[in-house]
Amino acid sequence: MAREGAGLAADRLTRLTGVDTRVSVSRLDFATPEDVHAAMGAGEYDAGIRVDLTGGIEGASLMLFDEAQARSVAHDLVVDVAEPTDRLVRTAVTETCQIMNSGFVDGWADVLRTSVDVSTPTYATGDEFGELLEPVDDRARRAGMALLFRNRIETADGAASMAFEHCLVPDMESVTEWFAVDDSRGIAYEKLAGFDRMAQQGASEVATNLTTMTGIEMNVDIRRVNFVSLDAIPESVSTDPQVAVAFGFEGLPSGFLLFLFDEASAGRLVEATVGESPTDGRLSAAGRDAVQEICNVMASRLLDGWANLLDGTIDHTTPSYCHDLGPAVVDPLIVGLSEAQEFAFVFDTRVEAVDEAGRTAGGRDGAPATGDASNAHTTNADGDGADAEEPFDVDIYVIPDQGELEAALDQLDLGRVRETPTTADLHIDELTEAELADAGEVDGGELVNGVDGAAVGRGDE
Amino acid sequence: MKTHTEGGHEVDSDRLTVGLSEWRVAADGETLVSSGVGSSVVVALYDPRTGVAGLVRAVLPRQSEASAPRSSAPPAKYADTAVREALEAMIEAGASYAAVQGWLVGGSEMFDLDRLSAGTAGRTVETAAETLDRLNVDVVGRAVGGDHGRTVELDAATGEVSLRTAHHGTRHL
Repeated sequence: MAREGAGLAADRLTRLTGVDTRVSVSRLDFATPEDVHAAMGAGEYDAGIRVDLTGGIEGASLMLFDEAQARSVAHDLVVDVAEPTDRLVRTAVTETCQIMNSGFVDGWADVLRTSVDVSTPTYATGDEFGELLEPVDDRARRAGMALLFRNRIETADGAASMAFEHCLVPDMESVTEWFAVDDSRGIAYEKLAGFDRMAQQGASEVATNLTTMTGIEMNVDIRRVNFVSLDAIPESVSTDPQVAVAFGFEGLPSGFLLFLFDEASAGRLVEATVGESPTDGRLSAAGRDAVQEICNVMASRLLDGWANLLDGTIDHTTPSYCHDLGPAVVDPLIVGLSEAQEFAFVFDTRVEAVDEAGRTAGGRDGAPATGDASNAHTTNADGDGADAEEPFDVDIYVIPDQGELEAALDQLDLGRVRETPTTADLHIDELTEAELADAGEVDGGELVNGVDGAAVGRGDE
Repeated sequence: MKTHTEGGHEVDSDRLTVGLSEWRVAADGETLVSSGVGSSVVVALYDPRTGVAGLVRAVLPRQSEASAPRSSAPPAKYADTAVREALEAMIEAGASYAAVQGWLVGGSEMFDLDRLSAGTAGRTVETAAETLDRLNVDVVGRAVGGDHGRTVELDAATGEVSLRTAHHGTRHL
């Protein structure tokens, strides 16, 4: 859906400017009002247009962009005019945006088999920019959600590029109607919201497990469920080498689960568990086993949580390890899913270390970890074991099979989702012996010190 | 040198990125880049006489083999249709058909997972090779299979194809 809209917008821009364009990134996030506010206030954009929507979609549509970039695209439009006036450029920018916006809205209207009326655009920049955003912000707060598109349209020769954020903030009634279409392929919106919440619960649990196993205090940065073209997923992954652990899972739904660590984070994880430092970013056999075992426990916890809420079972494979360029690690999973689907609801999240003041450490360029592993096992309860300045994060991607996800969501009992606490209270010493044995089977031997040590070291709580 | 911003970073627009299920053509000495190629397959095409270059990144072997024909899937997703389209575009951009050379990169098996249908990557490589053969394009270099990823760059100014890997350094193909 997202790409359908963006593709249509690119086509229109192409026809308008006579310059080949391509959509390089197109993704759709189900966003909170806070997400919308943050996207607007990120400072990357200084101009925008707003239109009001009526008909099949009731709401507002906002396109934010960098005025200088827009002007360079606009210059392609008015190339026949030797010295285009400001007013002419501004008109061209408004026209361009309006046409692109219509492309999106029409794309969505096609998907929803409805028609949408679009108001005259309001263009704003400079001092008026804030006033442009305010009504959309208000609307998002009232609705409690928005659809956030992130797109870049660039000319095919790469000369003029225009990135823009596109927020479509529909009224709640409108959204409920979309997802309530009487169509076997439809997904009820409230189920999707439930799934989002379910996914967040899983992530909180993973963070808790990770803290318990490593002694590093963790925080969860939920990126929420997003609906994205499979082909666009690698563009969101760092091109630096990543330590990856992948699982296939079978049940309702089936799909892939991927844990991604940058090299510094993987190193820190290994230090905290087996107490050794990687050489040149590469992990020893024991280090690899430790990372796989930790991921195995996290995968079990995450998927068991889902299975409980979906009242079914989800089995996962043994972990598969890979240390390679970020996009190359995701690529095989995309290839695997592409035979059956074009788009996926992807749940991606980041679990980050927090410093002593409770802030996430952030950044990915810190020095290698040098902490004493023996401390890490016993001091997690109060956070003393975490080296505040050391970055540590893990990105988790759950990419379910589309058809099976829809079937699974049908079974999602929203009451159970609401009843389940958002803060996980499960710890490694509550893992069953079978789960721990599963983890130990990864390298066919004993649990490594870290996991074992963490299990023993939790007697103080 | 032309520059533009991408994701907040200033990038050199003489480097054109090719994503999954895409192909691009360069005729002005730009460098075509496809980052982190794993199981997908890159076909690099170059006409040394005119300096017209093309880079294809296909995900699946053949459009005709798609389990359920999907109108939304771009032809560039499939090795057979993508290679044909890119070659046509290169000729439109001035390439001389008989002079075009080809390189094959990718098709790695990175993970040992049952759910990943074994052999898709290999079949995509084979299909790309067959398509080039049918189009009479000589394959002058290949780096396919194995268990690691590769970032591919094709410099349209020189026709040089280089591969960057996480652990095996950078080399020219």
